[in-house]
Amino acid sequence: MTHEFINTARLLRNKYLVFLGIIIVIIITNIPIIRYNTQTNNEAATIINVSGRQRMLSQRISKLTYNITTQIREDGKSQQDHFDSLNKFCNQFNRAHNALLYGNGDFGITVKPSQIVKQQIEGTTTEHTGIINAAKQLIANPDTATSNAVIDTMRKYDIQYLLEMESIVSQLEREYIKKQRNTYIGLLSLSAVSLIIILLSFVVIVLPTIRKLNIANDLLTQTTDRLFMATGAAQIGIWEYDVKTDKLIWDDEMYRIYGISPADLRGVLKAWFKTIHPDDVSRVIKELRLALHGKEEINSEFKILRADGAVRIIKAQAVSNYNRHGKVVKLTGINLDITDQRTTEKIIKEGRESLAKAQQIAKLGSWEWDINTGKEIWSDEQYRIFGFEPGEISPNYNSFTDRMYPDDVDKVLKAIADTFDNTKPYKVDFRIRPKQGGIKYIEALGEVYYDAKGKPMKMIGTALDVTERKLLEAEKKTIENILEQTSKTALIGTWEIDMNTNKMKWDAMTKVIYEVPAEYEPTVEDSLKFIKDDELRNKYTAEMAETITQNTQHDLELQIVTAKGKTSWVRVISQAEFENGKCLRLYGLLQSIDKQKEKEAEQKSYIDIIGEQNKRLLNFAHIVSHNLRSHSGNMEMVLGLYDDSETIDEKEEMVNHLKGISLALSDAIRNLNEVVSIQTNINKQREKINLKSYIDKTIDVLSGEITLKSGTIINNVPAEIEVSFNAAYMESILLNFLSNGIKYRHPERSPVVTLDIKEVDGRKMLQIADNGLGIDLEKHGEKLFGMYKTFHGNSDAKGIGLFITKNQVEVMGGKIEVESEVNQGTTFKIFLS
Amino acid sequence: MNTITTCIVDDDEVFVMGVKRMLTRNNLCSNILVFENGLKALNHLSASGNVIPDTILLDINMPVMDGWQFLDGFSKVKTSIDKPITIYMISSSIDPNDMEKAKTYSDVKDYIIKPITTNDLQRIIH
Repeated sequence: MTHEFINTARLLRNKYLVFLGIIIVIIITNIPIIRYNTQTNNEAATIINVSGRQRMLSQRISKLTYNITTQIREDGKSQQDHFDSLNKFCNQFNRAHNALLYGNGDFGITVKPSQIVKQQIEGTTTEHTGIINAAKQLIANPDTATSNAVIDTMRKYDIQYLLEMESIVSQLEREYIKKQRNTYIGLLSLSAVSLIIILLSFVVIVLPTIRKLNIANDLLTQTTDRLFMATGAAQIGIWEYDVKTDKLIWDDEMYRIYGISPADLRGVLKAWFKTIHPDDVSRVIKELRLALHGKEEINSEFKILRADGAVRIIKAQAVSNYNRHGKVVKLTGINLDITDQRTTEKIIKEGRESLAKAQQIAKLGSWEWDINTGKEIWSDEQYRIFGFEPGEISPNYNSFTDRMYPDDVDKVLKAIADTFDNTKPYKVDFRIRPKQGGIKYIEALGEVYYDAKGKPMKMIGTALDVTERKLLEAEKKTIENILEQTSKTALIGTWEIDMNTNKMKWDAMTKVIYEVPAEYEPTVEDSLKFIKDDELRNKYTAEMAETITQNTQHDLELQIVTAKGKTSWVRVISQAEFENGKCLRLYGLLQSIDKQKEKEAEQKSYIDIIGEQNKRLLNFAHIVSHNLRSHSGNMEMVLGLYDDSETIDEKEEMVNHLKGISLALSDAIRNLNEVVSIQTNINKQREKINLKSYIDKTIDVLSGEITLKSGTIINNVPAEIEVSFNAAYMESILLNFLSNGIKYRHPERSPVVTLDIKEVDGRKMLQIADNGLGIDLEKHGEKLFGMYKTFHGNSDAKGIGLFITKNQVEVMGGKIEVESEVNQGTTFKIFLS
Repeated sequence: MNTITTCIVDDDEVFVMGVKRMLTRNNLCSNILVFENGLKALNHLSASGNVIPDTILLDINMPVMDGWQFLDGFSKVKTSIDKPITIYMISSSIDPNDMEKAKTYSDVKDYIIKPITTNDLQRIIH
């Protein structure tokens, strides 16, 4: 925790540096911009200033010229210094003019004037030159005539020049104000941008770390608080001694333990020594010195004498902090008041007796074996467990093994030997034969104790009589075995969900059903993933929710996909355990029901077959009733008419009718016989049939009819196609469909029948398509394959062909589908198996 | 009695012959119409100016248009016929389904199982 805090703090420092860097970069980039702006502003002010001075200079020149002229007029001459001044002014006047016009650096003007100003200044050139020339003239010829002329010239140009300069100055001022405004706006936006960048980088770079630091700080505080509480609760005092400053620092607990105040201690070691009991003080000082020399760390016990006269026992421990030269620079340690603990030890000693009592009740014996002397001490209960009276024998190492079951001796000896090797306590079960006979189951624990040098000193152990428990366990095991056997046979597993922890448990059988490894740990969420699809999953979760909320029992059949990808049917029975209206536990059974499902499917297929048979039988009964009846009815009617006949001719006519009926009747019986033979001829002798050659043969048989009706039969079935079918049926089927294709041709076109073989879902399908009359399937579809059904009013249609064909195909395990459109043609699809 | 017209719709020539013989022999009607399937009978009934029968003896199993389809068609054209027609189903089928089905047609007065007798005809044709 501290580590994290320090890292975060260091990170924050680095981020601050980055942040500072950004600010410096911004300042450095801003300075030249600001400086440039200020400089331009200053220079503009200078220009205005110089322009103003030009006015002043022109006036001075004219005034001086006037003065000189007056003196010349009155005195005939003028003072030399006036001429010098005039000359000087003229020079300045001229230089400033050029500076303003060209920005040549004179008077600190480096900027060229704007176009307007330049034109205006150029406009003053006449006046400017006029003034200078006049002054120069006066200097060259200081006489009355010249001076009068000069005065006139001056008057002429001076006023003009002043006015023009006035206009220039105000133009410059306008420009200056405008420029200054732009500068302000520029600087303002610059500062705004800089500010935003600074803020952004603060938010992005520094703030998150500050937040992290705060969190780390909070955690650190918490940790410190916890540590503080822990040490407080354990009444552990913490102290620190800094060697360099010779300063001793105590925490509050230290002061509480010693019963003194910070004012008493003053951070001085000697003040501490004063509180230590006279018996121990020299030893403690010696130990401290050793620690300070880095020879031995402090781990000591001593008494203190408190101001209130109480003597307390203190346990002290400290760690030494070294510098890189190996010198101890600091000691950090703890003090613990163990007076009460020592008292507790006394109480424990006194409580040995009640322990013996407790041992008796718990049937727990204990023993101690002194490894060096070989002496063994047994508790009273230990004697009793082995069937002795307490103290009846002098126990030794062999007393154990003598009473032990010979089969278990090796196991126990190995456990003890292991304890010596790995220095861990051992736990071992074994059986003993007590003195008075019988058998006892013992659960033994033991541990080796070592002396300061790490040499085994003694061994202490316990022996718990667990006979009753073992017997119960054996009984439970037997019941469990029976249950397990049962569930294995019935493939029933169990499962449960603890509603508080949401933990799910599966037994071994459930894991077998789900095909997960034995070590698999199910979760409620994962268990749902085994369910095959969402629909089942939703149903399942809904029912579970109902079980949990309404304490109902549910029994659901589900399809799961096991861990190994097998789809499997299971039955889930669920039940809830409620307490005070709250569901504590959801549990139930899981049964694999694949076998039942298989049986159900098998049964269903039988039912389907029986249903199909039934349908055929019904159909057959219907045919018999209908067709035979129609003939017998006719016969009855004609016989009646015969009886009522009054003439011989009439009787003869009826006899002829009877002959016709009897022929029709025997036809019907023959047809029925054929149907019956198909239905009952279950052996359905199959053989390999070359389909193409059968079709060709049928075409051959029908060739007369085909030629007569100018028909075409296209056999697209490849020569290599072979099907397993009854040869006679195949002939009958082909003959029927091909002859139908020609018979029910369309009056407006020559009949074309096309045969193709296709593979649909792994089944061979013979497709026979014609371009004939077609059948209105909506009207006749249901009856198409019925017996004695005709559709086109053809006089030679008997309505038996398709019925027989269908029966033949179905008996061979196939089916017929039909597509047809009136006036377009019909396509029969014959699935051959 | 002389103006009664009976219509036989059946493809069984022997049956038609027998019924015709019984009707004429007993003077049960003056006029007999015969159609070998439902479509032909329906065409006759829907065309105007044709003789409309008083009674129709209707078979079930016939090519092109069977008895049931005829009844479906008849229920559509009967509104344009201004004369009550009594229809009897005459079939050799003893299938209870057929008998039940016949009852669902309000135009069918009765279902008579073949062979039909003179008594039957006397009873149904007045």
